[in-house]
Amino acid sequence: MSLRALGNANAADPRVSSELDALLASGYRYAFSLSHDAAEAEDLLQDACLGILAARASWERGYLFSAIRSRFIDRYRRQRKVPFLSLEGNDEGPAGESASWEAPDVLENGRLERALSQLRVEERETLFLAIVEGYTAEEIGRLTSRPRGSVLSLLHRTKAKLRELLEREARVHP
Amino acid sequence: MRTRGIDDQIRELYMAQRPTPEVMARLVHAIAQGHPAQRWKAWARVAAAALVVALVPFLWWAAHQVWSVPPDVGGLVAREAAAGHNGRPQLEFRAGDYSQLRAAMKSLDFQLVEPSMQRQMRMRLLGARYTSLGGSLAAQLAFVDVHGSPCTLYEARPVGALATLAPGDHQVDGLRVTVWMEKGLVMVLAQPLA
Repeated sequence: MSLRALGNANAADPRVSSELDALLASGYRYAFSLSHDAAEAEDLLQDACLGILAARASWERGYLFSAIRSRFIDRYRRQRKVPFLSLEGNDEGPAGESASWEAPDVLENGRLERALSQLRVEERETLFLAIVEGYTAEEIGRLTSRPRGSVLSLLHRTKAKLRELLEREARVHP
Repeated sequence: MRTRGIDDQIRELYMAQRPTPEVMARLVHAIAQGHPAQRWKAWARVAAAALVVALVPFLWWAAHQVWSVPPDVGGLVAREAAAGHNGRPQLEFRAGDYSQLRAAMKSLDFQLVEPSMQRQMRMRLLGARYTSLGGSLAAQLAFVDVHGSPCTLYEARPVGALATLAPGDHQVDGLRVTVWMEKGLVMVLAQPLA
């Protein structure tokens, strides 16, 4: 069943319920990639769901992600934080897939989480959408209103930055 | 030293993140309430289509007045308030009176007010944080009551979903959640059941 069908289906149906569960978990992970805070991510997910319910909109992943993203930006603008920086002038950069690399287990010792927390929001978001959700550069561009070239460039620079941060982490916390 | 692809490790880290079961259950429940099942047999669809053509004005009215099941905003907001209380999030501002909080929380789109119940119930203010309630920006204020029990008050402007919120009491997760309007703001108080 496609997620598009959820809007007209019974959420008590086990098949629909499992689709819905996957959608909400995916929305939560996206919110977490933006906020890097579990409580904030839950707040964002709940707000977005309430908005979709109030608008009687359909339960699609793209729609949920947009709702979460707009609430995140709105919330941080109100708090006068500037989580997203302009990418103007940063369109130059290599096109194509950014390569992965082999690293020691940085998950177990918390190095990866610390390094991710030091990335800028748009860097973490792009990394999440590309690696975890498997979005193409074009799909990321549509969600984040950026040209495809900017997305590819940002992804490449983010991976390089993450690698540096992990190397620094390894020196600081050997 | 064991090595693994960094993409796999990033994926693993994010895939391990999940909302709490309470939040998940609450959202699935709310969505189920908001979108009742619509299962039609083929013949019923044809008959319904014919009826729609014949009775468009009536169906338009009925869809808005009778068959439209509004989401349980009051219940959802009460559960959201209870979850915020039970989650005990860290306070961004520690202050013992409202003037300090007003000075600190400049990004609110309203002025914090001291509700009348605070003095009546002799509750002591501990501090506050920015949060959201019903999709709107809100202040979450932490108190302790005369028995030393923690209480949480939310203040927000009555906009969006909160504009339709009816005053009243809800019992959620061992808490009494009270909703009311005061001085032009929506107030939601979560406190332990007596």
